[in-house]
Amino acid sequence: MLEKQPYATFTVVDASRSASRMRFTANRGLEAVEILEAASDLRSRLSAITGCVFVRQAVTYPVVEDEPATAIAGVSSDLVAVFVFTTSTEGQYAVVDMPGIRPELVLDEDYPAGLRVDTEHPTVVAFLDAITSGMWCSVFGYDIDALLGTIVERRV
Amino acid sequence: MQFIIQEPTSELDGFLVYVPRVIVDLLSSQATLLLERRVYASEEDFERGYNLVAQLKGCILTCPAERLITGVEATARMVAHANYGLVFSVVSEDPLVIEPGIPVVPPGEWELPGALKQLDVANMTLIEIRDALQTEGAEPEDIAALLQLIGGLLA
Repeated sequence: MLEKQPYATFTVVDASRSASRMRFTANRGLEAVEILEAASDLRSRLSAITGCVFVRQAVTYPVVEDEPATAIAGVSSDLVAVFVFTTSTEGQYAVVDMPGIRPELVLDEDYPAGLRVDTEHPTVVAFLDAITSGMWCSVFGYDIDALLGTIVERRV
Repeated sequence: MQFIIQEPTSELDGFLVYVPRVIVDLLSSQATLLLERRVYASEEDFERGYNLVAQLKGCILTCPAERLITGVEATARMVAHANYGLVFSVVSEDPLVIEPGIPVVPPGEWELPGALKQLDVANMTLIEIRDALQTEGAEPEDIAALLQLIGGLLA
């Protein structure tokens, strides 16, 4: 894997709510907390220059595969395994999409064949253990707790 | 257009819908659009919409229609047997055929002494006992016979 230079992105909108983005590349090797502090400082300075308002800020650490392997023949990214999880709070859920599910991980026995992920397969169990470890949360910030269900979807 | 999503009034504030198996993944797939912030009018609408759609995706395969109908029919047969003494039998396993059919209305005649029949018999007997005990000059032998009857009811 090849680490690229991190960058901060600011999204601003004008009076007509039209959005634009500004991007600033940071020095490689900086910790996230350092870039976040620098981005906040930069944002306050930029506010004095632009008449737009800031609506979003993000810091990205890109890492790219320098020598990507060949994907398994016949696997399509349009076949997506969807995992739905309950979270630490009732009524809050987390959805995780996994494009290109391997065919052997889709249950082809019992009703409804071809529509569910084999959640007892060791590789799937390993994923579920990781995502429910307390490290990951829903888009609203609730800790992912347990698997509610899966469905294998065809995307168009 | 952006969507406004109201808070459900209760946990079961919704509908049971039959979704053909061959399109259930396509239907779920199309709902993915509703997991995106941009389609909602506010953060609150997004959070409500996201969680309701997530719940739909997570549960859409959990209750096959056949299993639901089979469960409801089994319950109806148990009620009919317990209350009216109707006797059902499996005619064939695959496909599953059970006869007689589930009655649409309660049967007028009891096949076996079901719970309702037994309650009716017990009620009539208790009325007879009460009337007998209220009769002046009841002999001890009569009372003993009545007590035996009560014992039989309690057995």
